[in-house]
Amino acid sequence: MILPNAHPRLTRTPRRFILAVLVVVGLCGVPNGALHGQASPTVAQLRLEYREALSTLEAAVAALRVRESRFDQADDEVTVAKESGDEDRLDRAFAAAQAAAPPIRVAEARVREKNEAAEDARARLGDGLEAELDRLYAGEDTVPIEVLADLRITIVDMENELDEVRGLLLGFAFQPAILVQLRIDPTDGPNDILNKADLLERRAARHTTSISEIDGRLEGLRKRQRLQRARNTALAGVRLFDDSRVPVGPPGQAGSQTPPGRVVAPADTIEEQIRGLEQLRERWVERRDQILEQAGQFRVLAGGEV
Amino acid sequence: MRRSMCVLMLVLSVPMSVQGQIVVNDLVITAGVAGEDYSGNLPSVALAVVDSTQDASAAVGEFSGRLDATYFFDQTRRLSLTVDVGLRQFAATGFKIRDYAPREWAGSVEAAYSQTLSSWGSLVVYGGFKGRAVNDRPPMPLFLQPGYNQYNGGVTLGLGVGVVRFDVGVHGQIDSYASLKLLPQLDLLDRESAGIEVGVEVAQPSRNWRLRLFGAFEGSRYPRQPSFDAEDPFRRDNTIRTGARWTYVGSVIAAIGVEGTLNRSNSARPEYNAVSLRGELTAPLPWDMSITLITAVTGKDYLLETEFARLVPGEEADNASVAYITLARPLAPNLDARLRFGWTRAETDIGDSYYERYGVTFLFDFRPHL
Repeated sequence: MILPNAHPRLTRTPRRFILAVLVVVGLCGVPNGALHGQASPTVAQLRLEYREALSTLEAAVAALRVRESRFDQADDEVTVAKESGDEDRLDRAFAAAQAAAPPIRVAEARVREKNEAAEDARARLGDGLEAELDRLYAGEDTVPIEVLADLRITIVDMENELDEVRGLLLGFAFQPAILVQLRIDPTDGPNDILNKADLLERRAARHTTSISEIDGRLEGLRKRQRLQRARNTALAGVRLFDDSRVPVGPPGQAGSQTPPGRVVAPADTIEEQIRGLEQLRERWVERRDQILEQAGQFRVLAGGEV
Repeated sequence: MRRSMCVLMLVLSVPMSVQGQIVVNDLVITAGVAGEDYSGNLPSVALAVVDSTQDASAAVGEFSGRLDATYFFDQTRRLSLTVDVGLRQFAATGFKIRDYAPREWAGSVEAAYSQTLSSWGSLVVYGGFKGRAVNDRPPMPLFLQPGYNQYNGGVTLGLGVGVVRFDVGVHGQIDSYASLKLLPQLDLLDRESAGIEVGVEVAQPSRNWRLRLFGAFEGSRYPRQPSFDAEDPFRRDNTIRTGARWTYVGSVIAAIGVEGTLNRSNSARPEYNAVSLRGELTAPLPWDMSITLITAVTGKDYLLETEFARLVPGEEADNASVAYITLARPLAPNLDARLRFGWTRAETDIGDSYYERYGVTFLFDFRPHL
């Protein structure tokens, strides 16, 4: 019977197509067949989860790039300030670089975390596709002959998807911008490659200078830390037993020469300054080593000169 | 005090792996011995026993611990904690009546929560406890401060404009002295106070120094101390303090501070003006050594001179001078040795009468977290 309001195309739907759909749906064990890939909702859900994980990962990577870009700016400012000979400017530049380094660690950790989540989602999708394919393979012997061709098309498509999912390599190399910019072009000759290696080595030398500057600052801070500890211990030793108390009021009265609560501003302690500089040093050493490694590879490619 | 020691031991048992959020700035355990000499046999109403000796000496064993740690909630909020606990055991000789073996327990806990409000401001909320107890307190001239418990807390708001930083804070404090049956007069010093303090600090980071000027007003009441005024029977004091402190942190660490005090009361006897000068210097020496010098000098002028004794040396005495020189040298990365020379000259209950104390202390500082 043809319903009066039914779409005319439905009335022309080939019997063969309806059968194929019903078979695939039946194999998947769910009432509604998916249009793409004839997959079960479970696979469809896994696809969505995987896409969502990829999208989150891309956002985390973008955030990391922003932080790296800020660090690069701070890094450049350190070089400029050093060349200018302005100590105050250099102090400010170091402070800015120090402040820009930890967020990169946080962003990198987030990228790693999201990368792992994407890998998990990918593995789950692969497993889901395999299970789905197993069901479809089993259906090859049981489906009516007229829909077998469509089923095989579906199987091939899903096999291709599985290959893509299994073969896809995620993971991001945390490379400095200069390594991304300075890649070997297919048209580069040995001299071009050597020039690029020179550029990389100059950048690495800049980092080495910054690292030496940090080492000097760390040494100064550690000396100050030892002095500060000696002072604190000496003061605490006489204050604890009230040995330094003088008779101008009750013990521990307010209005003392130290601000109440000991801290007026949450300024960085020496320990924090040391930790900040160590983190900055670590970042620069890591970058320098990456850059030098790349430069070495370039020289090898250019003709064996390292 | 024993509770404070337990808290410290508990904190010490926390594994250092939690340093992702808790940063231990310093953790030091100190043990040492000292020889001390005291002279000046003065009467004191704050002591239950009297001895006629002019000179006394003591061998002292000392054990203490100190923790300075910070918990970071995030980049703008932190909680700083400082815990000090200590025990000092004296073996005193030279007295006529008997030998004494006083034991001092002392401890303090200070916590400060600070939060950056924006690029221009910060808020600090703090609180603390300090307490001490003395067993077998000897007569003069071996003067030891009496035992007391002290609770304090307050809020400070800091506002920074360039290199200038303003701060304003309110605070409160309760002092409770541990009196004995034979010495009820110590209770007279029980005290409750509250006040406000404003300060301005100018910093020169490139020159490594900063200067803070401050002024404070404080109201105190002594609920157990009569004022000898029938209409206003208990002592109430109003105190104004003002001063300055200059600090330098560079190749040496130095601080010099001066503070003036005007104390006015509904009881004429404790009204006084005072000035105190303090100096601290820590400098490196050859062979990895360092020297720390701590000095304090005070001058005090009572508006009304009385014929009878003041209450407790340390609070209501007149003048005192204190000097400590400490030489420190690392023996290992986590072990320092210290040699400390101490000198105190203080006027006690009776005006123009002084007692003196000399001490030499040898200490080891062990830092287990290094």
